[in-house]
Amino acid sequence: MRCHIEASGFRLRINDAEILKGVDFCAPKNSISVIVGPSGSGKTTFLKTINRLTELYGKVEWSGDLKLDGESIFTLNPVELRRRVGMVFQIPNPFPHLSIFDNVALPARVNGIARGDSDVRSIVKWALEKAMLWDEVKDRLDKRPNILSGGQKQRLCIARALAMRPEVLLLDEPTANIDVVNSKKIEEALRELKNEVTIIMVTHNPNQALRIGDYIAVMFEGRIVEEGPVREVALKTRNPITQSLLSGGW
Amino acid sequence: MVSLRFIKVLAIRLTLAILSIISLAVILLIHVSILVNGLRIALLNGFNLLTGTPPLPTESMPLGGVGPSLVGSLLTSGLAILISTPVSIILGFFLVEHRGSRFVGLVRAAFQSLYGLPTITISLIVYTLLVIPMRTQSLLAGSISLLIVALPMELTYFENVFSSIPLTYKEAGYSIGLGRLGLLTRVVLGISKSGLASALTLTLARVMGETAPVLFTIGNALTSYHTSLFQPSSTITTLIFMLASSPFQVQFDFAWGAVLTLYLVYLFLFTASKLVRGVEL
Amino acid sequence: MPDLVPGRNSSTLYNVLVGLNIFFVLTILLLTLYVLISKSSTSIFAVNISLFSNKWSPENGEYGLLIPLVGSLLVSTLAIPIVLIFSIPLVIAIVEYARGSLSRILDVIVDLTAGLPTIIIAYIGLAFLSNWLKNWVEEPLNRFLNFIPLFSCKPLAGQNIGTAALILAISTVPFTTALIREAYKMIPRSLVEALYSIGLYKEEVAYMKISMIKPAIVSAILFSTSRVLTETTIVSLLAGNQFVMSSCIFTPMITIPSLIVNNYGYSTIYPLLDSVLFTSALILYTISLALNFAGLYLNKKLEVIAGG
Repeated sequence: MRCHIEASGFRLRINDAEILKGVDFCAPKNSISVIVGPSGSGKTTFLKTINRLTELYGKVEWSGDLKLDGESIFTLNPVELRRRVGMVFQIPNPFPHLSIFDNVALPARVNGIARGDSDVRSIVKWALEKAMLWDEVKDRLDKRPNILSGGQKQRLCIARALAMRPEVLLLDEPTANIDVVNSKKIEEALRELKNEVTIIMVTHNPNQALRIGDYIAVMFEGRIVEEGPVREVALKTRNPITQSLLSGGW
Repeated sequence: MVSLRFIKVLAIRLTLAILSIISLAVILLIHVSILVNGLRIALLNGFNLLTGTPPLPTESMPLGGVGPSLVGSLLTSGLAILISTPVSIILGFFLVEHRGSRFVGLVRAAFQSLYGLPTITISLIVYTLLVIPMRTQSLLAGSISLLIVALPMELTYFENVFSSIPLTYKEAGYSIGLGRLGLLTRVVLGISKSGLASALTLTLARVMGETAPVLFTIGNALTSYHTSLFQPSSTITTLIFMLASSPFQVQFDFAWGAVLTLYLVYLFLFTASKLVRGVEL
Repeated sequence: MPDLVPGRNSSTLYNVLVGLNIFFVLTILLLTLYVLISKSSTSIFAVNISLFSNKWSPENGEYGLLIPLVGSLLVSTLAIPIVLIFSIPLVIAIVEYARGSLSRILDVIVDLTAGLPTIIIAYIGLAFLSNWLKNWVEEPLNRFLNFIPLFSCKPLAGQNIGTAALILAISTVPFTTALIREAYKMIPRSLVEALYSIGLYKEEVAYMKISMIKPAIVSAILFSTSRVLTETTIVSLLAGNQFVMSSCIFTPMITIPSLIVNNYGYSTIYPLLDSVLFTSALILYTISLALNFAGLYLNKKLEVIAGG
């Protein structure tokens, strides 16, 4: 089982505060790995370190290993890394000054994925279809995203991330602020996407973890305390932290 | 039985009312007198106010125009803003993106000292650096003086605009593989368009109203249209200064026309800057 | 732990652009400082002139800057209290007593007037205010209160240090009002509600709010003083430009900016005049820089209090 994203003994200190205290993690290729844990355990920080966002706004020190496809992410060019690893944020944040079309087209253009206008158009269509948004916006592609609902905005953000044809897709509690109908649509989209993209998702919702996760990692106080296939962990865990997280929500 | 406390409160209220009414009355008086007196001169001159040249001391009526000085004002301020704006965009972005760094703190302190430079000092310095070697006052020297005034002002405004962009849009921009320059051109500029336009217009308005920096540097050419960078010209502000110091009543009186022109230009730019902020560009 | 190497988030082009612009602005700053310091050093280190005497006569080689310096300080010391007396009530009136849209309109008018070119106010001052002030304010003050040294001389013309101070004050009130208003409006709502909830009148609440923002007011005073000190057009046209020093505020007096304005034309004729003017400009810059940084420092401390 090949780990697409692998962390071993990974420690992270931001502005002199140690947030990650030795993380061991493996996200196998073409699967959905779910990270759960209480607030403040370091889930979002870990996610944002995988695509090296954390270093942009603070003093960051690390030790241990964090690898993408066998290569340490810190030896890669950060801009190049972020093309291979896409991210969807907790609160939908499509660019307000660009049209729906341009929101999805921008990553494709910027990273040289698309050559020429027809190339761009086909990628935008593909990304929006994968995000299950195409039918709802195909007549309004030139409009600004402010006309969309929260759930639609989030799917737009998924499409935006997909437009780079990433290897890995990181999602930080993507349905936390979204209504149930849109949440279901997003979960459906992710289930289909895992065949093309490795998905790592942070969630607060234990049912969601059980619904769509293949592997689960439980994070507590900057460490992964339990990891494994979802069914196994859910049914056989003896870890008290895992038990309380999965049974009641947090 | 009225308590002491109640009397005190009433006294405060009365004082506040009197003082603030006086302030507002004086402010209103300023605007009204500009409009009334300026209109008098404007009606006398019609359109020629904008294109003609100021009256000679020998004239009997305040007939003339502010043409050359108006052009001088527009050219010098325009040139100053033209150079200052791209510099302020890049440096404003830089100061916000790399905020924590020590180096950035030092750079910002350096810019702040430029901000504190008295405008009369700027005039003296540009006079020494440019006017004396060139042996003449010039539009160029005037523009450089105004550039030194505009830079720290516009930089501060732009830095404010950039820091009010929500972090999440910047993170989203980085997450799709944009580098710092790409983030600036493709995300930050787009999002902050109207804020930047408003700040730019406001800086232009304030720069056009400056007198001291151009006083020694632009010269005294009040009567001819010079558009060469290396020849002297004048600005409306220096024109007003000259007319106000003139011993001849007809010139002193005519200054109202120049004052009205400057006032209207300033009013226009100020209003534009407020309106632009609300509009989706 | 080993550090990260974040540099590669910025492309070479970005670094070059930033570097060039920093270099550009720093060059301007250093050039201006260099000229300022080198030009003034000649007169500072010149042996046979006393910069701080009260005699000014370039033809005799006398370049005493004492009177212009005192003039500048005096006009500021007179103007700032007047500014405070009028801007604080104005802030309170606009924020507490004016309703919704009236308050917004007044805010715009204040902002508009704050940025109004000072030459316009100087001209208005010259056109009628100075005469009006002379006839209706200054002469009566002299007639009835001339036992107070401040009012002991008869104002011969409308152009004197008192008039200049008053018109400077008029010009600065909107600016200071805008500064104080920002801090006043930033007082957290919960604090204000707490004040009302203990049964205070609006006036008492306003008084408490003003005491809460004292550091902001001090910082506003510092910035406004810096602005008043370096203002040129109003003092040149209205302060009188005489080399006299007196405790009476109706005397015409020279200030540093007007000194520079009146003399720069002769700077090539008299040997040290050029340098002396630069020295006076340097003095002005140093004072204004100190005031500005003090104001900024206070603002920084305020941010910590408000945000923390």
